[in-house]
Amino acid sequence: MLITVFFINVTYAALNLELTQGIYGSMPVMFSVGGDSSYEEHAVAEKLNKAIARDLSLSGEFKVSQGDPFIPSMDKISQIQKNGITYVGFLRIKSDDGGSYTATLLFYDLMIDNNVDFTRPKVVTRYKFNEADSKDFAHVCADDLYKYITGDDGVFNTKLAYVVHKKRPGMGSIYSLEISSYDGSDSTSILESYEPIMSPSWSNDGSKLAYVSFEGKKSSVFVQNIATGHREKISDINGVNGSPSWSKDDLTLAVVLSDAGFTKVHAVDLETKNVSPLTDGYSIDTEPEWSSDGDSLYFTSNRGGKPQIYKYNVASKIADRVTFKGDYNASPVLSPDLKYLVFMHREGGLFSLASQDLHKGTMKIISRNGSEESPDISPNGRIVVYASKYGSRGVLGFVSLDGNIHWRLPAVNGSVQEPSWSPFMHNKRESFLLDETKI
Amino acid sequence: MLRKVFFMLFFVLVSSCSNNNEFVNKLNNSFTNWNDDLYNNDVKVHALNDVVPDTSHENKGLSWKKEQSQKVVEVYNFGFDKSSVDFEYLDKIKSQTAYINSKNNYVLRIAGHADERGSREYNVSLGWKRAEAVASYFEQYGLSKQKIMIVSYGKEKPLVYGHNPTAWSKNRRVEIFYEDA
Repeated sequence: MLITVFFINVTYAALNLELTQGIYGSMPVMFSVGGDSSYEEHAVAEKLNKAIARDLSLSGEFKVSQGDPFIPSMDKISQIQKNGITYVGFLRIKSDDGGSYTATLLFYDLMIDNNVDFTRPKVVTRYKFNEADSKDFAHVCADDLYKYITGDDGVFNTKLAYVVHKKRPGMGSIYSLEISSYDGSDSTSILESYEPIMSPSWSNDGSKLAYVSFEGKKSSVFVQNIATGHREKISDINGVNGSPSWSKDDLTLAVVLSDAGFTKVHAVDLETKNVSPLTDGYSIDTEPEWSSDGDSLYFTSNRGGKPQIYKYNVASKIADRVTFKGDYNASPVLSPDLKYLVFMHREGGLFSLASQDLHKGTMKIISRNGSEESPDISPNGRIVVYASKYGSRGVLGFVSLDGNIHWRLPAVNGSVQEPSWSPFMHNKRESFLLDETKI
Repeated sequence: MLRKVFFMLFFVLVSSCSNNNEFVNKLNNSFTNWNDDLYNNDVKVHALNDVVPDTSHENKGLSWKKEQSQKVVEVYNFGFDKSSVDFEYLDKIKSQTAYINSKNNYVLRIAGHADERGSREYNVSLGWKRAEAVASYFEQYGLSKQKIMIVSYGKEKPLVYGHNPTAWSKNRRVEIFYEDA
């Protein structure tokens, strides 16, 4: 049974992620952060407490309760168990010399262990962090708790890239390619242009973005190093240069180039810049998406008359049709485990997002507001981000892959379009982690 | 600038038969920065962190500028998901061809567009097919391929904002411009 459980509005971010539909019976989790004694410790603890609880609540999968900071004890555990809590996280921070902190996360699973010994948590994780990095550290902590509870990696420490289109009467347009946290906060521009920017795509190592820019009143595919701003033009033929997609090893970029009236999927070797055509025939072929094993590419083609999704086998060079329901299926993205394909779907003139089980072939609508486009999947495969319309303004929407949880990320200034979800940023966790002990 | 354009178009021309190797050569040889110098001020690249000092990243923020509308010479409209040129436009294309050929210093820019329905990249391909269809008539009527530059914006630059059939039919279009060589 689905019901709208709660709405969260957080006011400090430029873009505010809102949970619009959660699930009834989400897992009850208790979480708190405690400092030892000093004023500074309490202030940092409170900040972390809020940020971690916010992440966990925003996931839509947990009902987070936050008791007063507590020291684990047998009395406390039986009390918590009576309240129906199934997972408990307790983070204790201790100020070191020179503005850094040591933190210890104790994790208890009351679901499998009814007689919990509070001296023996299921996982003990120790970290070191500076106060200036407490935002990132909170995301890392939330990710770890998420993993201890669900078994999957969390995405609280990942990023989004998207295009913001701003317009002013008589002043034309400014397009901005922006990067933000997964929840839209801390957005920053890495490219601005008076001409359209399209199709951002993260490299699998998370260091670069490929995109299409119409600067110079023609289309070109660029690859930009996010940290340094250095960028390289990959293709600018007199025609279409579009839809970049990275191979798993980041050595090849699939792009769409026009040739004699049609657009075809090509592979560009990023080292040698050699270009080789992949698909052929008298049709529009576009929107390639590499599978994570590198064996195939999914793409959109109208070779059967209407846009449908096909799978191109790299070894056999044969393309097989994958989608059959509806008269318009486009923009394919694959779940990392290669089990599901998510795409734009049209039936009865209305667009929606659909997911298809690639083994069974069954299709399911996961979001239907009539204007969904440009889907992308989170690196843990659990959430789909997409662009949509709210009035005449472009906004980002999120939906869990099973279609049960929905979020909305309203735009503040301008229309937001074409989201691309970053890979995991595991190096962030490594920079904080001291050790992890599982019992 | 025009020399660069011609240089690039030359490769497109000599390799227009679609043999794979020639096509690859064409692509590899077209990575010249044609007319980029004209538009250097139209983009700003920002580094995420200023680890590497680079003067080109210093002035953060592109400022608003007064819209410079390029004069659209003619607009040809298309049916939904269609890229065939209506017969009513052929006479116009013929007379435009004669006009451009009478001017030594004109090149033709053809921009394809689509309506807002459907995916962004599919619409770029659709706009391209439309622009190519118009370009082939210009060539048929005697305009040299070297004088034609084609771009497709898909649904990125609608003429009319609106989510209704009237707006959609106006946005499914090919625009032509003259540009000084």
